[in-house]
Amino acid sequence: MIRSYKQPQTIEEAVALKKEQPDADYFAGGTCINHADCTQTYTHVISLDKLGLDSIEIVDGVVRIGSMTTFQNLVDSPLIMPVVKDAARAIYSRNVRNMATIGGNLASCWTHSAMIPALTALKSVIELSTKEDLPIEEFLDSQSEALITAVKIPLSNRACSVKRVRRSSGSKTLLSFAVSLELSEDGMCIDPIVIATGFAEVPVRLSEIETLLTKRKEHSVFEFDLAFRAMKELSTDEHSSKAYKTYISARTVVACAEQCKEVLA
Amino acid sequence: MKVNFTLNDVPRTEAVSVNENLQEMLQRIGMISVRDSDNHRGFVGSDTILFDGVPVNAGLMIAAQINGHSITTAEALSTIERPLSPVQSAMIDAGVVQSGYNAPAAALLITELLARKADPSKAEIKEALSSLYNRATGYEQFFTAVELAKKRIIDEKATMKVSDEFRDDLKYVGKAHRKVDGAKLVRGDRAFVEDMVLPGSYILKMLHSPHASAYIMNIDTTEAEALPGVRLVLTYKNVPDNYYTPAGQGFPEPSPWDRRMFSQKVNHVGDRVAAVVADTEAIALTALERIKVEYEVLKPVFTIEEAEAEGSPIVHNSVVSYVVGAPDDLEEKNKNADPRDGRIEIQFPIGADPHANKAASVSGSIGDVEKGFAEADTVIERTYETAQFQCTPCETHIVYTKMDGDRLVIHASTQVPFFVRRIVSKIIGIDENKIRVIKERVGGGYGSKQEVLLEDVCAYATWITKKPVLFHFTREEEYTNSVSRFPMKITVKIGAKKDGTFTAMYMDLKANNGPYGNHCLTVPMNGCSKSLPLYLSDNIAFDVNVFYSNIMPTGAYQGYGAPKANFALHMAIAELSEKLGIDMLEVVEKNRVDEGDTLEILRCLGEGREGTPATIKSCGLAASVSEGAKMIEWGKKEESSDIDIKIGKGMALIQQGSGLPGLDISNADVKMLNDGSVIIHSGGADLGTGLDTISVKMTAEILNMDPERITILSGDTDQTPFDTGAFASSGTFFSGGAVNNAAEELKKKILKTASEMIGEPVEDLNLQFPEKVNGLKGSVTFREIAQATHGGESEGQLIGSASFTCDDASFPYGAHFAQVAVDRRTGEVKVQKYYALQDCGTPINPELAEGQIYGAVMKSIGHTLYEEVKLSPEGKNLTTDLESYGAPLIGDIPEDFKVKLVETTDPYGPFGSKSVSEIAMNGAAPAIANAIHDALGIWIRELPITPEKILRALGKIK
Repeated sequence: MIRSYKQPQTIEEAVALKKEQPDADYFAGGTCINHADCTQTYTHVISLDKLGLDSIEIVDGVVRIGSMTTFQNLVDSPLIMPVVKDAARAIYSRNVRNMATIGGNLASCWTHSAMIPALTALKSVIELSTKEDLPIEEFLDSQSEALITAVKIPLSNRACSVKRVRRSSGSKTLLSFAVSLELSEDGMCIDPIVIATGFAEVPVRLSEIETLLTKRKEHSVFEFDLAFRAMKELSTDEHSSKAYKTYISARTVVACAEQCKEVLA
Repeated sequence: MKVNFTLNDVPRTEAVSVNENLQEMLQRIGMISVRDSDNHRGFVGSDTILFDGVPVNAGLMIAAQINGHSITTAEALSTIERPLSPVQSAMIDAGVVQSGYNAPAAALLITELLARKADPSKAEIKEALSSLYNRATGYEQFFTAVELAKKRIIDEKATMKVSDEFRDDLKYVGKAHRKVDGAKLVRGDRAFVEDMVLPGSYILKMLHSPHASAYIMNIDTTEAEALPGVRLVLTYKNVPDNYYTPAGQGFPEPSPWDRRMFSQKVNHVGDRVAAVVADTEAIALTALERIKVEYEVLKPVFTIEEAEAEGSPIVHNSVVSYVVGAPDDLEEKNKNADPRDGRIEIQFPIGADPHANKAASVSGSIGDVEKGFAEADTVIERTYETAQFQCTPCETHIVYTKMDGDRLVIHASTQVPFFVRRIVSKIIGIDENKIRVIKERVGGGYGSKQEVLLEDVCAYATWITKKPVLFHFTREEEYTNSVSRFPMKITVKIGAKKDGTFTAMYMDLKANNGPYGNHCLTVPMNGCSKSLPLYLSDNIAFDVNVFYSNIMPTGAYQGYGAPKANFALHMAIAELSEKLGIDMLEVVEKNRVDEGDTLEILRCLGEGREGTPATIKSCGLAASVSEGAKMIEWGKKEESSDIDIKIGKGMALIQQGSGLPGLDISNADVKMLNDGSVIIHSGGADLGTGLDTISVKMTAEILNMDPERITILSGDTDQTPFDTGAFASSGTFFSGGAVNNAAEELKKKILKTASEMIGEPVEDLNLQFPEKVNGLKGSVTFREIAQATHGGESEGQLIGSASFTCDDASFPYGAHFAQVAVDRRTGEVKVQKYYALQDCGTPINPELAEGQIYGAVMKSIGHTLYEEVKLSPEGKNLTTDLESYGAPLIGDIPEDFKVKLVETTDPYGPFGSKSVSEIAMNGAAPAIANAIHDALGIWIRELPITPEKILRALGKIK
């Protein structure tokens, strides 16, 4: 139960409040913390809504997105790349997109987030109030409690595609994938990144799948079938069988890769 | 803490607790339009507000978040004193305000959209409404509402065609007309049960069973009762020992009385164990945690196969008794009953054998099916399965009970107010004259509110404590304790000659009844009675067997048994057609019924009594089929530019009934008031479908007066006469019929009085619009008549009273056509086109009729492709929220979706009307499944049709 709600006016004030009360949590849009399914207990929260962290700008070759930028602002902004808009639209409800923030999503909504895979695949960097920039994977591993002030997405020759598997427009996402890659001059896939949700409690990087994508022009779905079949994380549950998940994962990843190649071509 | 904010343009300061949910806080300060449908999950959107001008879900916020911000609720759009906004009036006129629970939210969303985008595209409208779940009318008419709102923002008097019109000879019937309760609902005025709750009322919360089958060995409520603020704890030990069925059916019910308010045995995960009545919800929930229960856990049964297997666990090992018609071996079977299983009281034989898990069974036939199959050139026999689906009304089940002197008052969200009175009276053991049931506006029922699921225990709590008590299902309880579609396994066998003529039809229907037998005979039987009579054959037979199990409870759901059986029947016809090498439509046309045909099979399909054959007096099948086939270009093969996307077309005929002839009865009074205006007292229960509007329009038509001068009061057991309620598609036909008859009675009295006043014979008089009686020489107004009959020298107020009963059946008919695009790579299905052509006789409210069809089709598309209740191996419901369950939103509508009403005139229904809503549930599953076959050549015989099942059928996964 939330017992105290602080509403600082500056980043410095917010950080100071956190320092005073280390068990306090930063509070962004509230869609995760206030959700009926939220299992974590929040006692003291520090609201970020007066800190002005909602700008989107392009600075020095990166798109810098303030951490309080809502998903709907991402969809509406001309500065945001289509793949990030696609990831934002994974939240089907516009109401919820109006509330959910990119920073809040990073901090608390790991399980269902389609945004984290996309940001990871785009090699994003997390800007913290400590003035420290952490690569997103490092940030996620660190379980840092520092205040996220922005997400920086490098503008590069990297293409990225996100796709999700679910039954209806608003139903729970069964699986989602973000694939990014570059192409060599001779059309080979270079440095692919594949992130998936639905395999574990948090988004996971699929290095075996990245290996299958690397330095190839064409990709055989059959190889991906075999690779996904070998993954213990994919199992039969009440919604679908392992066979289906294997099949659809292979085709979705290949479809993402094909889309990336089309963009780069 | 204190929050400073602007509420609907007025600065305000409010003391809130830090943790207070914003939706709850806004309701607390009077913004009752901000409703909660999903316990703060942000799916339904009933809690939509504008936060600094942007739509958000209040339920996903805490009150502290609004400090320094601006909040707009639907209350800002208009008030009782101010006229409706252009968006609100457009929504009502387009027909989207029916149950209306989240109509205020929709109005806010559209208002914000049009402020942001003056001329939004279809995609932009869909995106704006992506936050809204609308089970009643689906989503299609919102596009019309936006179009009309755009016009009205420029010109408040602007109009546009929102639906086809019917019956040129009539002024109101057959024309779109503003729904009489539309303004109240769209504004978010006090209308629903939750709006009637007085401060200080007690809250009732239920302790649910964690086991699918178990005996309660010990239950200790001492600690709960000791908690300050706890007023009452109920368990099986301290409630009346009365058995009942929650099914709101006519007495004697064809459903076994196998429920007790609380029992020592629990029969499904979520079953009632104990109730706590306390000062606050928090205290009640804490008290629930302090109740200690020891269970003897039993092996459950979940499937039909498990239930019918010899030696399987017995769900109800009860002492069974019959009011009439007990079987000879009953005493022998009762010998092994366990007293902890309680009793089952059966009113008359329904083919039950609870000791063998059989809840009901029935068989019937005409002709000689074996001979018919022997004469066939081709015989096909296939088995189809359907899953468990939930009604998912936006307003979850709710009841509020209080005392009025020595009388019990029940504010109910129900389809059957008079049966609530009867059943509660029986359970609690008090006379019906001590109980008043007031049906408030119903935020969606779809059959689930034909059940008495909360009223018994809440009324009892009030009766004991003498205090007002509220019992409101959470969304999770709605999934675990409300009723749902019976899962079924249906085998269909059809024999046919080479030219497609049927020689015999057989349906073997097995239903998984779940833990309690409400509707156990009638839902499965209705599957046969609303599908087989669509086709003519001299030889027809059916067997129905229904089994108790420990799945989630089942019961009534719009369409009743018909959607499942119609799926099976039309799949079998499609498979037969393929085998014969004849186009399905040709086979359908060769065998379908038409006006003048007599349906002999109905002799075997009475609802718990002997049936009677019926002759079809009106039938719009021919026009529905021919127009639908033309619209979808039946027979033309469509190709996609993507070689992996295959397109196919499918269709199905549909039928339903119009109430239950010989069983249902409705009554109404129509009274003239002192100024000549009129008030209707109707026992009918308007579920949001527009029954009250139908009653007003019919009365206006008969009395030749403006509907604005007619008011209706309905569904109040003290204030209105008896009505069996709104189920089995009875509303327009029966309840409307009673009002029609009462208005005709009043008209006779008006003419008689006028005759005396102006001294001319009644034969020379006629009614002139508005409110005038003209003779050959003189005239008199309704006002003058009313004043003359309200004085001491008169014979008294003019009141027309009438009932409506009918022994004749009026069947609505229709044909649904679907075109789907299926991706062979992923198994994903997109419904590209859906055309629903339906004959409901004279559509009294055409725009509302269309809305109900759009809504029903969306529900059945959901059942066909997305929705499914999933249980764990232990019987726990794993899909207790709308997101997990897969409820369809506006993003799931067919790309081209049209409803067409085919006019016929029925001789029995008021103004030639028949029913319209339920029937629309029956077409999507077979039409889509057949379209998938047309696209890919595979038969999916099990609902829902998931991508995984398609990929398996294609051999892509094993």
